[in-house]
Amino acid sequence: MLRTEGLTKKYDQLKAVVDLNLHVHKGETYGFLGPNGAGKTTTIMMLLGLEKPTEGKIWLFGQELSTDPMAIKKRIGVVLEHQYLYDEMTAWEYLNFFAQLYEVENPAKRISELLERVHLYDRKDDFVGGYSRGMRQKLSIVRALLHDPELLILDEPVSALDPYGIKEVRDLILEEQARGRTFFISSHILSEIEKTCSRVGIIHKGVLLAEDDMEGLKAKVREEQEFTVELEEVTNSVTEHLNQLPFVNSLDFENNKLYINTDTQEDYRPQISRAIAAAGGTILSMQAKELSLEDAFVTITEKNLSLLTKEANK
Amino acid sequence: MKRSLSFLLGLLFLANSLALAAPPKRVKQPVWNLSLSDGISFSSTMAPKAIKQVYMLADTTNVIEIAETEVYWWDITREYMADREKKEILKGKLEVLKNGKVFKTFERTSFSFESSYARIYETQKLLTGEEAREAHKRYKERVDKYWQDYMEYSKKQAEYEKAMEEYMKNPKGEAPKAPKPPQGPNFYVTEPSEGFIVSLPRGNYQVRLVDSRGKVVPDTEKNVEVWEPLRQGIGYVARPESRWTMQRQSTDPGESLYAQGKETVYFSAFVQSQFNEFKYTKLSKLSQPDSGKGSQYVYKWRPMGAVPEDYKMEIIFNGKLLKTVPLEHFTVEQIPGPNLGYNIVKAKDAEEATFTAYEVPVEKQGTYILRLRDNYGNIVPGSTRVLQSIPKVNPWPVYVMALLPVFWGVYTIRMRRKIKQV
Amino acid sequence: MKAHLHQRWHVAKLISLRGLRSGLRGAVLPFALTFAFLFAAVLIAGNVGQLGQEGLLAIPRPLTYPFFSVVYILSFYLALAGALAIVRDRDRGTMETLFYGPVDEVSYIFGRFFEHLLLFIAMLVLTIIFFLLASLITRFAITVQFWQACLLSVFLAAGVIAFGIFISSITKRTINAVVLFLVLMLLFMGIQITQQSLANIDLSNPSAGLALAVKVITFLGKVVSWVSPFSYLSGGLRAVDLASTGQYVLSLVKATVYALVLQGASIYFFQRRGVRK
Repeated sequence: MLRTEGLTKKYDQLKAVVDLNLHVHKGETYGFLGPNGAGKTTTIMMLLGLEKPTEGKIWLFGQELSTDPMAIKKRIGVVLEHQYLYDEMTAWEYLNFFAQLYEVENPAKRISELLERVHLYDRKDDFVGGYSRGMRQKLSIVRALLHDPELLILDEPVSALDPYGIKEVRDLILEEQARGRTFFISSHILSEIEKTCSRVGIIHKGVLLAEDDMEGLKAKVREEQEFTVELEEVTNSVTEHLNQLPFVNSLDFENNKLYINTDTQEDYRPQISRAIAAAGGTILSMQAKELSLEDAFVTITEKNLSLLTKEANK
Repeated sequence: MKRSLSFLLGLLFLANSLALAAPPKRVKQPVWNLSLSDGISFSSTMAPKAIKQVYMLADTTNVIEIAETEVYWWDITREYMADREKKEILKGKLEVLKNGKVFKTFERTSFSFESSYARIYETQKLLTGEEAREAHKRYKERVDKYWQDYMEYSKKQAEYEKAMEEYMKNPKGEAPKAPKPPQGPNFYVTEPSEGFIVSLPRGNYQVRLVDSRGKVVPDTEKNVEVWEPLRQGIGYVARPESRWTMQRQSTDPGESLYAQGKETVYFSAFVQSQFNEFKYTKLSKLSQPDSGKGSQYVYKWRPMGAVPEDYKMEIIFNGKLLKTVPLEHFTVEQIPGPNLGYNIVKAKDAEEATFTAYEVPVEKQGTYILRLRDNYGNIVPGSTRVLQSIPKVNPWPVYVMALLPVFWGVYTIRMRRKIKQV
Repeated sequence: MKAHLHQRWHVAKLISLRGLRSGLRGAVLPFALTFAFLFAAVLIAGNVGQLGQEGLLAIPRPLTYPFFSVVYILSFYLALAGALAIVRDRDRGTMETLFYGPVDEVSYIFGRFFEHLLLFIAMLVLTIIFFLLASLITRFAITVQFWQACLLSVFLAAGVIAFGIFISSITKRTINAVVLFLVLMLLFMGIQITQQSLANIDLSNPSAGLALAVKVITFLGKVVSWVSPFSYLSGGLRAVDLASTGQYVLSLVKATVYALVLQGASIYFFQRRGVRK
């Protein structure tokens, strides 16, 4: 669906994107993460043909972008971070204009359907200039979906929304995912990426540091596992038994809860249960702490940052 | 140091002054002396070696004289000047080429100009060959006769004065009559000269002098652009009877004339041509390279002569022929007495006339079309004018209309406020 | 190729119609039109007054000159609007949104151009109504030359608008576009007025300084006659004045070529400048 090869963008001495090789498969939801200034927006601009790459190629729908950008862009829907709308138009006029631009069949029906989905139908005859930020964002999403695009590129799609709005958009994305639409989402709200994306790429200082599915990414960065065990009572016997286990790196407790850090070789819950039982302890509950995407993201970027710094200092 | 600097500056200033005061450099070279026609009169100008382009009006008779003389640049008036005293006529034929081929050749002939003070238009006439010589002879004889008559008159005047003196001592009987002074010639004919009488159709030519061996005389070749007026037509001077001094000239054939109320309008007609101002200027100021600059796209109408007296004016009112009027002579008679006023009446003849015109009575409101017909019954091109007789109007509704878009503006401002309020 | 052209035409048409709707909802255009009409009204009233005073008026086209004054004022306004069009769109970010879709530089530039030309035509219709009513009120006739002037004005306005669009395509910020436009207009007008003044004074015995000034002004005048959009307007007025079919057609062709050349240049510079803020 989307592929880049050696994509590079330089502004004088600044390298905004360096040798980027992306691969987004049809039907998947790809999360594109990176801190501010990492090169996400520049990458998206190049994918849309709004910035000319210094080097490299872009393929969309199996075609090189430069061969027929107008036809290719007709198959893409875009919602970027800032919503630039024609304030002097009503929502209906605005969407009708874009529907005509993309040559949408039966535009009135399509617009009505989408406005209903985002609960903006009642405001269709109001001027866009009077819309709140959240409404403008929803309107932009509707605009992006009007022409039933195969690929949706979203940059911070929920940043301006309240929790209810976020859920609405998430549900919309999931619905569209179920219909086979491909998503390329760039966001800072990592929890949302976790909930919607199947694969993630992490970019930092123009370089793609990691690209994998969610579990794979977490596994790459996980150096320890943490188990939280709730006991009836934490006794010295229990802590001694546990410390003797070879895979336990560290042990901590608070009241009747034990926090056990182990290596990541395997799931050690059975061995931990046996050790506690042998020490006379009674387990009330045991949970393995899931590494969040945020943790993975921070780890990857910090790790690579330090690596990059080491490289620079050699 | 200061003294040396002052001395140097002084020397520099002196040298500069001497340079400025020095006479201009004279260079001997072939020069075209031209008498170029603008259709009604001739202008004298000249083109030295440096001026490569000459402009001439198509199908008019012009005179080219090629002579060798000293030419110098006169910086004060920024033009080339030629020493007419030292000129030597260059012998040969005038060869005119078009697209590299010989189009025409001209032989030298004698010519002179006759100027008449009696005519209003065509004040100058070009005479050639024997006619020129005869005319000059006639002029000289007339001048001689004038001097003879003047001598007679002087004698008679002296006698008269003497007789008057005597009469004044004893004023009895009839007083002596003063002699009538003789009339000088009302025309002038120049001394016949030798030159080429050239008339060419429109086009671009290369013109040069070739000697008896057929060889081109060096530095005599020039490019000649023969051009035509853009349009020709009839111009009018319109005089309303109620304000006859308020003359309106109508030169543009597309012009409409407007009259208010019942009125008689007198139309004096003249033949006119519309000239390109730049080329027209060059007919008389060829020796000034900067002349006419900035006027390449300017066109002006110029009167070329009176219309023939047998032309008649048709007056068509609201599509129907009202009447046909001849060209008549009119005079303005002041009304005697303390009341100020005048009457425009028909004059006995041209000599008594204040002006000559077509009388057009504008009695009803509507559209009048005025045009001239020649004695063959053809409409004279460019002579048609529309005269609208309209009632007095107050233009204030036009201002009201002009303000109507303001309402639209107010509406849009309110709409924009609504956008922001939503 | 055909599909491309069809697509570009489709996009340009949409952009121009959207802009037309937006322009008609704008607050400034009605007041510009009012100003133009008032100016014309003063000229018309002047003619009426002169006739009343003198009893006879010989005037080529009493309504055509006021009509051209409206054309001048409206063209100036639309040229300025054109000069702001692209820059403001880029500043607002709305241009970027357009280019997410099947829009390219050619369709965009032509879309913005036709938007302003359509606005001019809309105003022209109102202007014609104004003059028809003025003719009824004053009894000054509407001549064939008036209708010729109407048709020609569309082509002349196209050239002026293309100039404004060009300014917009080469500047980065709104204020720069305004300043550049006004400076160029003043410069062109200054040179043309000076040239006109020199044509009217006697240059038979110019001083050295004046002669040099004449040379410089003549050269600049030649440059301005090719570059300034208003010289094409003046040329058109001259063609109507002279009632010359040849000059009229030439004016039409020159204005069209001028507009196309500027459009080409606008597309080139726009491609270089890019879409983003």
